Amino acid sequence: MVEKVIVKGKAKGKILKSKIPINFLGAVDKKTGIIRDNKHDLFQKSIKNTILVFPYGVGSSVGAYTIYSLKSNNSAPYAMICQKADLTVASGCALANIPLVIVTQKEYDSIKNG
Amino acid sequence: MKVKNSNELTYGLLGYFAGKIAGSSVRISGASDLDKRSCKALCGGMGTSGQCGKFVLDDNDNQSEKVDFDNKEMQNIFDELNTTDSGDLVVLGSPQLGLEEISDLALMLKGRSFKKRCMIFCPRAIQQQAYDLGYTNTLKRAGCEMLFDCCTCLTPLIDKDDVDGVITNSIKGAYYLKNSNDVKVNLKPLSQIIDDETKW
Repeated sequence: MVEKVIVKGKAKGKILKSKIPINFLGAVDKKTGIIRDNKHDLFQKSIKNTILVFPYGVGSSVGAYTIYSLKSNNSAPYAMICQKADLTVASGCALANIPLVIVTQKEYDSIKNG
Repeated sequence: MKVKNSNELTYGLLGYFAGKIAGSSVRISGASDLDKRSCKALCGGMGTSGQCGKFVLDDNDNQSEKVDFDNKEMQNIFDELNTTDSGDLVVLGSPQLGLEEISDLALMLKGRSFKKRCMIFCPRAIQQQAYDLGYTNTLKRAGCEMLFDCCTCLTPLIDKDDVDGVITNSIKGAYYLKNSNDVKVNLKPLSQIIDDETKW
């Protein structure tokens, strides 16, 4: 069940789920949408045109502009689903008009890849 | 904090460790003797790996869950972020240097000069104050380039096509240089950078 809608919208796509938080500035290639942090569980996977599910964003607030750049480069996810709201992802999604919702723990656990 | 003989690099590693495991706030014990450089390193490291917006240095908290930061944990993070044993560029100032740090650096570099290119990042206001106080001259004489209105983590000036490895004392810088700029990083405390990378 959706706990909070941060950025309104509708999206349809393949779920890409991560167990660990994402540092958008450091971990994501803003041109391609590929995760380039080799310590991340989505390493070398592309978040482009997915419904990206991850716990929350971490790291520099400049990550919000990375999300905006992803959108400008047509490499952004269709939507994001998080466990917790954080300023970087919320403002990035708002800037880029990417739907973002926060879901309950139970709902989060029930979301599967694919 | 169970690591002895700590310096700003140790505190940066502690911050990175704490950021990974802490929620929105954390108490840190065994680290009450922080100077400003180490405190900034701690904040920078914490902000890089986590979303923790608040930390309290407190040796008298017996109620919170405790997680030890020891030599083994420190080495694990060091090995994650230190990707080379040498570098062709020295980068200082992530987070950007304040006036006190620039003054310390100018004192440490008196009579010395860097054997390699050295970039120093600071805010525009600090750059002007450093110039007025004469620190900029000392640093330029030591071969440093003062940069403002930009940051180690976002600058296009440090590119993998031009630079093989960067030497820095910053955990925050190391993470972003490694992942965003795609360059290798050699981590050392400032005192060691000056010993290894400058000459009289």
